[in-house]
Amino acid sequence: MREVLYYAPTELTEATAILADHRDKAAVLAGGTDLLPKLNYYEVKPHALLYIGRLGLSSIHNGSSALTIGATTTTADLATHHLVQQYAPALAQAARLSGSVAIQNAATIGGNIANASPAADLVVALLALDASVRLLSHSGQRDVHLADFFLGPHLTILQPDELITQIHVPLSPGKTEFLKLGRRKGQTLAVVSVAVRLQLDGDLCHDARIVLGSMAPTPLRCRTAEHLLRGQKITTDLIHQAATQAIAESSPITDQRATAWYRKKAGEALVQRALLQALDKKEVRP
Amino acid sequence: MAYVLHPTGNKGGGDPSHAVIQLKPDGTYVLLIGAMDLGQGAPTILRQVAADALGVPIEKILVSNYDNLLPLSVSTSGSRVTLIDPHAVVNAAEDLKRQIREWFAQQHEANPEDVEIEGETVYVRGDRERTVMTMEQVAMGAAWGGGYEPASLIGRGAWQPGKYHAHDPETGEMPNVGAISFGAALAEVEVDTETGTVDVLRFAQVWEVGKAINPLLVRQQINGGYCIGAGFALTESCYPYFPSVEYAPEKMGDYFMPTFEDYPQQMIFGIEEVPHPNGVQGAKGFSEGSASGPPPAIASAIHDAIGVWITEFPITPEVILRALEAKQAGVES
Repeated sequence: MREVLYYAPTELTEATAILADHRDKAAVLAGGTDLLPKLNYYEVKPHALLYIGRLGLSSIHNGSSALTIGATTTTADLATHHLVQQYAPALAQAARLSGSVAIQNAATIGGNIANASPAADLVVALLALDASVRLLSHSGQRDVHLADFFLGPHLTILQPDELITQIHVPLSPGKTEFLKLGRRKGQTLAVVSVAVRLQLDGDLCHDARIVLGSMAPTPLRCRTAEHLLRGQKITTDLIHQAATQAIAESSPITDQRATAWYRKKAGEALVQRALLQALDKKEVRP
Repeated sequence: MAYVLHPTGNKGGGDPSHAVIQLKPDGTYVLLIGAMDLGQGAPTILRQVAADALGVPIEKILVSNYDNLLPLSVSTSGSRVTLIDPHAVVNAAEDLKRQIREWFAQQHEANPEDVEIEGETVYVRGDRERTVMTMEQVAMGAAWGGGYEPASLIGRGAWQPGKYHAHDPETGEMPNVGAISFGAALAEVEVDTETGTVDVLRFAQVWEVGKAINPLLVRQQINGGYCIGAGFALTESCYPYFPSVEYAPEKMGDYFMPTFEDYPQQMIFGIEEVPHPNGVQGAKGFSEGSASGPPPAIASAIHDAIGVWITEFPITPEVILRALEAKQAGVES
């Protein structure tokens, strides 16, 4: 076995310098809940581990136009933090339904994004909330819409020298819901998950987000289904149409958790429910 | 609803257990027995049985059952331990008491038959004031000798439920020298007909166990049996959706055992006691049977809810949705 270098810097400049030095041979370690199994099974063989838990990135702040969430904020903090519960209840719900308590205490929001699982619970909620990520490297930083971040299963636009430092969740009005279906109630990966957000203007739907998890190579925004709702009066019939359209946009696979057939069938019911339940939710007001 | 008969111990006989009980120099006892604890509490109930047989508080008894140097208990299997091992323990306790009487009689020039053991007090009947000793004094005297004869006070006991009889090749019959436990299970479920998920709302299990040596452990066995049975009924499979190796689980995380969140909101327990002639104080095993009730009870509750008999386990959400589709197609055609 080869020796692996371990870094635990306390300064961001130090961290990005280490990433730049090691190019694609460094693995970023935060909660470790996705990375450690990969190390154990030799799916990744990094020359260096960069622990980012000492960079002061575990915080949730309320700005004038967005919630700013540090990349190493844990899933447990997201589930319980009053700002997340108030301004992004769908994210709090996704966090609460994610993994076990032990996993929630370790797993981070940045890790959930960087791991780029098609089933990532937090990402599905974040996409419905129009979140963006801040990427930092030794040569600068850039903000990227989360919707543009994923390329495929475990593939993203993140460069080897870049670090996710912050997640921005815009404070915008709307009614949201997150639902998840697993093979059991607790400690389960999504067979299918749904996050929706409805911005209403009286009876009319001003804007909508419908996002599916575990239904495509990446968490999926169903833009045509969203478009069906935009500017329309929301009726049960329209909700059924939107759900059918959302599933038509998906391309689920068959795996050990479920068949594609089941995912489409149960997914349609889940989208309908999420939209109907969102209508009954208290509106988030920034 | 489901009704369960569960054989406990090897029905054809054979299948022995052995036990050793040693009196330690401080007047405590060590019970050596090979009955492994798989979480079912074997050392706890065997300690209770030993304490009863010796007439001493349970705190005086230490159990060692974690070593292959220990006397054989054929296996922790077939719900046999509660039926068989207590006999070996009682026999070892009686053997130890016999040795104590002999040693005591020798020290006091009396007949062993006249030596009385009352829990932790030993004396010669009719001469109590002169001869009475505490068990601690007996133990110390036998262990350290000095003014007494030293003796190794170690009781041995073995028992099996009759000699082994093979089944009759013509009729398949065999003598039932073990015991059978009886159980009933009742499930109340909610089926989501859009997603196919099954939620067990309430579950009741009643077991007739002969004698509950430890009622809390019986209740926990029923509890654990539910989880094993419900996993078999609803989630656990080597090939969750297809008879294909391609989708076989590779890690424990791929294997879907129920968690606490899947547990029913209400669990109802019942213990019935009809002493069995083959058991110590009428006790017999039942534990594995408590995993047998949930699958048929849940399947029949699902039938009650959606009108479809599902005959394969696990009853996954997909199985439910496909069964409902087939039912719908049948109605339409």
